[in-house]
Amino acid sequence: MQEPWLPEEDQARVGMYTLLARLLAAPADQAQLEELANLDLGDNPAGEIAVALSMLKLAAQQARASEVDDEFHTLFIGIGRGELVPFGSWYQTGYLMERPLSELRQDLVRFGFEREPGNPDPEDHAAFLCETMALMVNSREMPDLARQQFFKAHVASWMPDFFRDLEGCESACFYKAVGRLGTVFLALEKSYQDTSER
Amino acid sequence: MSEKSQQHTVQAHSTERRRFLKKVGMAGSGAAAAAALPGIVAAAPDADEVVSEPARTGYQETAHVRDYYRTASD
Repeated sequence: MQEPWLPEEDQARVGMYTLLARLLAAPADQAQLEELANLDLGDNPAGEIAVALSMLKLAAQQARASEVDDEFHTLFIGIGRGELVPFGSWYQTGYLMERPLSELRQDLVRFGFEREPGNPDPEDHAAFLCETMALMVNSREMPDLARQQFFKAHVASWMPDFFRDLEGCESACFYKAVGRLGTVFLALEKSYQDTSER
Repeated sequence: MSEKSQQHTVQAHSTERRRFLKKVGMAGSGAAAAAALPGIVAAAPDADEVVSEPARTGYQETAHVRDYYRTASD
């Protein structure tokens, strides 16, 4: 979905946000697992992102879609609730639908994003925020500064904690690798944004 | 800051950002970039319209959300 005019580094960022959004929105199906199992990481992958991607690739090679589906439900849905609650408001206040969500909604209205009809989850869901970031990095109109402020206020404020919890989750196997990739990528995003701010 | 030195700073930042992403191996992640978005976010058709109609993005209490709310705060 990347725009051809987008610099290579930003295309890669859109790709990472897109991948994380896909993995957090719904259980990976067989087709997606195969895609991941066959990831082409180049001849000589170096760097933390590449290591995290090879872990995800390996996890996908060993995973079955039915197990991944079970794992997803245990982690994020559960009976009543899952092991993790992937919402920003929960992470920041201990409750769902609190102030962080209303602040996020104000910003989404400002930047022209809304929920797709049929998506039942509030906007502070981790997958929603990853998709929004992908759309924002991909947008020619959105000023850098606004994007950085959005990242700081609604992503950096809790998602690193969420990914760290996912990495360490007892019921996680495939999703541990997703947590690792998210942790590494967001740390990178943070230093990247700091570089741009100076 | 003069206009010239400002321009210089912008260029320096851009080079620095590229070097940074190269160093961390971001370029090698190109393959992962082929994934499609899950499609849970929609672009508001007209931002002004959305501002005047806050109900569009307002909190919709569904059974799913109610369950979360009830059990997650236990």
